[in-house]
Amino acid sequence: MSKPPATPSRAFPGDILMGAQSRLLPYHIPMRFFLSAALFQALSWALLMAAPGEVVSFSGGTGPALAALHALTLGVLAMTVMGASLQLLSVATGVAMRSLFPARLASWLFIPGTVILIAGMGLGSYPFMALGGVMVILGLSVWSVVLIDILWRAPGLRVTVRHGWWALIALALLSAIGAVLILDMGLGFLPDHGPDYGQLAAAHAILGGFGFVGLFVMGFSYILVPMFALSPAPAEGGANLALGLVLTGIVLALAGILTNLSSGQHTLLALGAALFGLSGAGVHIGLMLGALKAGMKKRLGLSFVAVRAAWALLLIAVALGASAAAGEERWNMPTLFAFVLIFGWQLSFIGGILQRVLPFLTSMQAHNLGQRPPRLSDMGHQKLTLRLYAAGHAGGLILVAVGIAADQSLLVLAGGAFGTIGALAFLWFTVEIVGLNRRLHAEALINSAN
Amino acid sequence: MTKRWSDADGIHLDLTGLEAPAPMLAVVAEITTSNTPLILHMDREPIFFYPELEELGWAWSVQRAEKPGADEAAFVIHLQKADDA
Repeated sequence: MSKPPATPSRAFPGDILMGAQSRLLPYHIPMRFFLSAALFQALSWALLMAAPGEVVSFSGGTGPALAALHALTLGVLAMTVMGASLQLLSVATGVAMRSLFPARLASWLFIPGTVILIAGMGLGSYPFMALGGVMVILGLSVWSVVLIDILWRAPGLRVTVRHGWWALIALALLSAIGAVLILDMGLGFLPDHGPDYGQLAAAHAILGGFGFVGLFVMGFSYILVPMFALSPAPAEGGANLALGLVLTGIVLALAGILTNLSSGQHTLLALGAALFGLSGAGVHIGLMLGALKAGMKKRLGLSFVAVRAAWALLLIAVALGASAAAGEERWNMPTLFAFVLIFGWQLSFIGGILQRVLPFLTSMQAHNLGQRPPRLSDMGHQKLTLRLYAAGHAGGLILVAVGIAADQSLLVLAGGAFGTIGALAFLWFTVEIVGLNRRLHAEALINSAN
Repeated sequence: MTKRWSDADGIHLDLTGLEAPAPMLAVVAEITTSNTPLILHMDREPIFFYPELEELGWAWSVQRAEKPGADEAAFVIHLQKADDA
């Protein structure tokens, strides 16, 4: 068998055809999300330092702790999901975006909206929270429309696409509850109308942590982990099983939170949610470890140390969540659960993956521009920045977690300092990568002008 | 299922109809055991794979069919060891 040659369009070596076929977005679209995420990561750790006493026993209400939480969830996690999905899903599914304008519009609404919302939360300003909340929800809505279009047209990658749909459903519910919570801060209507503020806040946290971000992280993992490890994609049946178990866990958790049951029934639902959640997380992690084991590439560096640690923290977070839901109040359990879930599992995972994705995207951009990029591992001062990031991040996690559990605000303060140093190192790494993209783009423009 | 055959210009791999990361794995399996030039027939341009190829020291060129026929791949990628390019 011999296929006839295609229409020649030679470019050798590494000069790749431009245009819609490549499905690569202009570098500044995904990078604006990643750079913002790096800035918000530093802000979230710094905000923990601003009120360490408030952090150890956080139970809601405005102030630096709420601002830190949302600097991380919206500023880092949602921001990264938005940037990564716009670029990676287009390339991985082969579906080109119809127009770049909605992606730009989403960034114009979401990034400043997050700044305003977090400022409002930190200062306790209802007008800021309302304005920021509206902009954030509009930004997420525009992004969702873009993503729905890509997912709808995607010809393959069924597992990732399926996770994407469920994550978007969780996002819709989470956004609606978030809007109600902000409105209640200004109007105070909730106690007389259905579930109270605390119940809705808990549902908002479950939908955000395990639903929106959790499901996207799981779905993207089925593309990214095999790609980096050079391994076959995990079996679809196993991935579907993990998804089904996690979704059941989320539904049980929401039922336990939002219904006014007896203490015994409440505990039963919490334990059921934890059992399904742990089983789903266990199946997912088993598939991922299997992919790493089968991979042709064994040396995956510091980034996958963070990813492996994140998987362990996911299991711990689910167990802590069950304990908190069952009424355990020692060790500031609800706060400890939220910290391990968000700063532990999700931030560690996203930090680990971004360390590889950012150089990778830069290399793809360079090839697309007909430029020869540096080797992936030689971009910027990775040996310094990423080691500093790993040390600061790990130190921050341990100190803040112990500080929360032991009710020691000084440990939270020290942990916040470690985390901030690590996050600044990550920001340095990101700035270098963005700078490299700008340089490659400028050089390509000069070359084309000549 | 990957189809593989040898021709005067190198080893051909028909990777059409395969979902990621199967095409990439098939190529890595070839280039880690041999330096023989490869000609890949693919539905889509393997953008994700270029940084990895760069790391492994391989150069490539791309041919694209504007309107591929029924038995024609949309993309034909020529790979050869960078030293030989």
